[in-house]
Amino acid sequence: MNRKNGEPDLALSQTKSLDDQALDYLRENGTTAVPALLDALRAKNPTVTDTEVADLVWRLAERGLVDVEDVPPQVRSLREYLGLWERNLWFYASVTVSLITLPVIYALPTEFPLVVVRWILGSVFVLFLPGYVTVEALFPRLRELNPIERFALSVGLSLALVPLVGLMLNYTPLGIRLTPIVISLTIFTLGLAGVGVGRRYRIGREVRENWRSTH
Amino acid sequence: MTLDSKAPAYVWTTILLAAIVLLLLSWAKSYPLHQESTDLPFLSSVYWTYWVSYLIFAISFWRLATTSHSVPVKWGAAVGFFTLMNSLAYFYYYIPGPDTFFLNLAPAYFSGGFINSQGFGVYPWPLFFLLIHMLSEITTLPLNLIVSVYYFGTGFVMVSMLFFIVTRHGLDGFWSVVTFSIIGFFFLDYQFAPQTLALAFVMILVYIDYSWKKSLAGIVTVLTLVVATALSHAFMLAYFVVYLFVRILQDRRYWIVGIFAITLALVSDMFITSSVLSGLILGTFSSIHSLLGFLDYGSRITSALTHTSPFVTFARVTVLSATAVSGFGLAYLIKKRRSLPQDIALVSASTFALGVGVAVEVFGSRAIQLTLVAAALASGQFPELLRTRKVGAALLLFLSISSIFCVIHINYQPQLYQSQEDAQAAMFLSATMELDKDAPQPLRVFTPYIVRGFFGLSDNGNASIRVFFNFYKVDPTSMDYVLAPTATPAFAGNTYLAAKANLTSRYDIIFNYGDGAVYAST
Repeated sequence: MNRKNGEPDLALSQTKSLDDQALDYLRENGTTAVPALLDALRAKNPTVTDTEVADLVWRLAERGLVDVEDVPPQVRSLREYLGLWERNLWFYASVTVSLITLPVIYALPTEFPLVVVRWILGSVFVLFLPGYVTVEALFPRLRELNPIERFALSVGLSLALVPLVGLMLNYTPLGIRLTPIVISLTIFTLGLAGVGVGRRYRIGREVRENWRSTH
Repeated sequence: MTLDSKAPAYVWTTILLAAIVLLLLSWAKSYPLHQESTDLPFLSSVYWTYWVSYLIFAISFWRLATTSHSVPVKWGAAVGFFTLMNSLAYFYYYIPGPDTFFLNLAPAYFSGGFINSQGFGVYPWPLFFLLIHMLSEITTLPLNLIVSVYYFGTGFVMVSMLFFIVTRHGLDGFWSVVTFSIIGFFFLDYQFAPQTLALAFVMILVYIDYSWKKSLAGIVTVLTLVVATALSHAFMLAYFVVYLFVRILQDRRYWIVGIFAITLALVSDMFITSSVLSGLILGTFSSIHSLLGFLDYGSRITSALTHTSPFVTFARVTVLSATAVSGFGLAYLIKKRRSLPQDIALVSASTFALGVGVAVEVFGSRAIQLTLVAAALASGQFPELLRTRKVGAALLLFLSISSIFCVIHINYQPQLYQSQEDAQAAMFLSATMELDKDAPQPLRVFTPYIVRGFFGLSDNGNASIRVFFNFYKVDPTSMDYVLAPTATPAFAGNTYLAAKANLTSRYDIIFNYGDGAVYAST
């Protein structure tokens, strides 16, 4: 994370002092890791929480006052990158939910109360996952969107993309029936999740190389 | 994160949990809402704990938004407030949105196995039907629950985008969402289901433009949403064309011009290639001379003023206050020259839509919703007009609490909602009624319930759909048909009885529900 010079400070008055302290620290120390900033702020403000500092960083980044860059650990291949479970949690969660939904649709009884599982997983499968993996594939850099924007945009894009997939099915001999819908949405979700993880891997390597060249 | 620096977190947590329990209790006691008689106040069937929980939630969301420094918490409070204002809708068997008209249209829509965009007035808007159909196939959710999921989803997207745009200005998003929710409560008609979906897409497009960082990913997202909006409701995309046109006048970079060209081409194609749409557009403009839109606005305002209940007066005060907040915010933006180019484009496009809407009714009813977006954005500026934060917080608390009067106001506009009986009645007609080709369209059907909606019939899988209109509190004898639950012992096993009107006191029974059609005379 590093500060951009010459930008006006538009911080809200109630958070101004903490924002200014963070900017002063960055001005003095240059590019730094977020945990180091947290420690520095906590030294002066013992009650400040992790969440508040995380919000502060996003706020400054959104207003263009600082750049936030996610520097991944060094990996030699995509396979090794996929081994970073915590970093790729979104990918594994998306794939797992997609794949669990399939047996739920075809094998679970449709009687109450078990059908509730299908209601919930099916809704996530249709109204969230397609948009979520699309957002991850299109905007792989964390700084491009904050988590809540990512979440809301995922729902919005799902509402747009799922019917477009259905429209394409309409013009095939398969028609808009259960199995074609399930197969097409699964392929769509897994495919874009793969694109997303691939883009993150490539960008991560670039960031890592830039980081090494400047440090 | 504590809710209040002065009160322990567990106090507020307990209060919120109590509110949730009260809300769930009222839902369990009241769902699905119905009324025995149209003469009784409709909301008398809502269990009293709902109103208590409403007030607790309103105050809690206000407290969260005004005391927390966390953006996600403020966003959660904003989404929560919008959902709260519309929460009563979830007490109905079918909530506003894809009403009976659309519910019956959807199966007919796919029965032919192919989408025929020339077939019917709403067929050019296939995206909504596709979404409902696919969600239904995957989840097997009952249609009334799908409607709830859809309703929450579109509202969630709209409010979130509004919040993000305002907070990216460094302003208070909760203010904007509160004014949007209060004013929009009366003008955001979820009965226009495809259009509401398109409005949500337009708000995402506007959000992307506000936070635009030129990239291939951004352009792909915009183009996807433009196509989705075109297939959801081209009127909304026409508004976006106007918005983009103003943006081009401000900024002639190639990507705006490119997106404008594609959007314009899509809208033109929708209107030119569709005989339904071209007929609609020609018919619309040929009616300009009659100033239908102006008359429609006038009649709505005058009919609204006839109510004299104190609750209605309080609701008016709340809406007028929210409107004033937006107006002052807009004036402040202009005076201080702090408006962004996107603000100007949004206000210009909304003004244009409103201007067209004054003359052309079909655009007018939509224009108000579009204007709402611009007004709500401007209201985010309002807190800066106030000398102290306390005054702002007090006014925001007033708006949050008094929003309950807008909800109570439903009592005086019950036709916006549908009870289980309404839905069943419409489903019954759709499933059983057969019409000859000479039947007048639309048929006027009286029901003793509170529905104001449409429902459609499929002619054995053909694209032709008959449209009905249910009337509320009118003289049944002036209707083409009357629908009522049968009280006749001979038909005790039947759910509904359809009868032909135009008779004075006795009806010709044309068919009944159960063992097949029965033709008889009483």
